[in-house]
Amino acid sequence: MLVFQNKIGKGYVLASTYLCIAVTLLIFLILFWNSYPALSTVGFDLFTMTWNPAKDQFGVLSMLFGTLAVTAIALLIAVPLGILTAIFTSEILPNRYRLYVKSAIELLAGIPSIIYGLIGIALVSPWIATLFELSSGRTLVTAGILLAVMILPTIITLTDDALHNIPQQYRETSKGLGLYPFEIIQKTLVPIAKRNIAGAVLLALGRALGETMAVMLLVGSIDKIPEPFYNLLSPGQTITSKLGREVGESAFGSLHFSALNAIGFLLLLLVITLTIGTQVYMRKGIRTV
Amino acid sequence: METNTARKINAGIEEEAEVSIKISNLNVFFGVNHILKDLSLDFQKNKVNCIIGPSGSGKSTLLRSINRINDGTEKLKVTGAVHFNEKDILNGVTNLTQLRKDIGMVFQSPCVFPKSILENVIFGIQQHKKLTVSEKQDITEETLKAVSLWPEVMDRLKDSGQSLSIGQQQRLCIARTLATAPKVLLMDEPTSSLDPVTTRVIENLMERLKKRYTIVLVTHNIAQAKRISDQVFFMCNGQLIESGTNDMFFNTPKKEQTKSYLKDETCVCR
Ligand SMILES: Nc1ncnc2c1ncn2[C@@H]1O[C@H](COP(=O)(O)OP(=O)(O)OP(=O)(O)O)[C@@H](O)[C@H]1O
Ligand SMILES: [Mg+2]
Repeated sequence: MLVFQNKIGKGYVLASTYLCIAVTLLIFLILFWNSYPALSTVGFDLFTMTWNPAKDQFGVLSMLFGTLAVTAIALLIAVPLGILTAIFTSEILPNRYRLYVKSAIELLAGIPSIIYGLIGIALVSPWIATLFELSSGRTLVTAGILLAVMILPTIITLTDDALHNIPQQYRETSKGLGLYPFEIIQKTLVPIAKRNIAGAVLLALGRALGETMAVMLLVGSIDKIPEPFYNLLSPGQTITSKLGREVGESAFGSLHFSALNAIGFLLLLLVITLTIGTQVYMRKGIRTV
Repeated sequence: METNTARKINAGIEEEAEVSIKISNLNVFFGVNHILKDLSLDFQKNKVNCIIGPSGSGKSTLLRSINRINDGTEKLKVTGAVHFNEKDILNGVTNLTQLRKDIGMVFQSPCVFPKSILENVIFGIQQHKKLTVSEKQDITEETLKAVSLWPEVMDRLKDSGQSLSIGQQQRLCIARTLATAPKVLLMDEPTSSLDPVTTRVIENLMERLKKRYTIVLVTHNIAQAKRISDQVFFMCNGQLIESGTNDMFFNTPKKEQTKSYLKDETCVCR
């Protein structure tokens, strides 16, 4: 009986593994299949500025720029803030409060992104507009700030886990050698958790790249690179916001639709590379600790 | 009390044994639990001072009161006095970092950082002062020689410390503690995670180290205490039951509890 169950269990696990792999491959294949018309006709003109489906112009540079800019802003805000918060929850906050704070943070992670978008429109965007005297508060920076808030819980929980899982004896040994509490964090704990923290950041990066709803509502949705390019308080466009807006209005089978698939393919490549990179990196991290 | 201690320390040269750490009326509470009960005892300089007693009797707590590593634990309350270097380190201003540099600690299971052997050795001392590359080398060589690890690792100092065997790791930990130039070594069951052969290596090491350091050793192992201790302190249920020199303690124990503990490691104490 047990052997039988074991076989079923094994089969089940194997089947679901193969299913996952198959689905991933299928997604890749379909995207590529649908991108092919655009890729073959437009070719390297994909990497130009102008996007005008009426004239069969499909330049994605401004969206690529927007995606990278928004993600960079989000990371710039969320990474230091997240790591410092995690150090606080894991190392400074008494343990009996830690779980409450952690559940609150994890609750944040569960809020649908459209809600963040609404709050962005109601609160952050007007605030940015007044603060910098802009006609519209929907800018790359606005989207970046919102995105930062959205990825913060991921960074905090994973970094907190990474720190908290370090055996107590490392702290005690360091204390016994005469290190001050902040030196224990800085010299002992962070170096040990380094790889796992990097993993947390990469995971958050993946989420930031793929986030659509909130970004679409807040980024301004104009296909251009600001001038000068570092003036990020201007509206822009990301790959996801572009897709979110235009997929519905493009005719299936048209070159326009194919071009949208192509930028989707680009995004997928970016995210998958990151995910695999993260996993390889994390696995090494587990080995050294 | 204070002047008495000072005189004793000053006069230590004439006396047969010099007191390194003097503990007077030490009480430790965790919340409502009274863990150490009015302990008064002296640890002698350049001796192996051995604390034995059943599990839960407060041996570790006593040891950990000496470098105040329990500080910050919730609901901890400590009263009494611990004199070291003519100063009461429990009361009055104490620089804890300096205290822990002077009173080093070695734990039960070796805790090697995921760094190179050399970086492990200098990890503690590096936080106390800036070191040049050659000083780092010198300290590493000197302390690794002191723990007899040098021949085994001299040409792989850049390798990860965690690649060493457990016994080597424990010696590395001792070297790391020695590098901060302590006067006292607190060792909490330093051989309990080691095999008998490695245990002997560490015991021989302690015999040599006591010429330069005061060693306070906690052990579960009565045979080990008999082998290497100079002074023995028998604790039970947070009290000091009996103490004396190795010879006195093991050959002519006075208290019934001590006799029964030495016979079959049982102890009834209230
Ligand atoms: N941080 C703490 N909080 C609360 N109680 C503690 C704490 N540390 C130790 N105790 C209690 O103090 C008592 C003595 O513990 P201690 O670790 O000093 O015993 P021990 O003699 O070292 O035992 P063992 O031989 O098992 O190591 C135990 O009853 C233990 O539960
Ligand atoms: Mg103990």
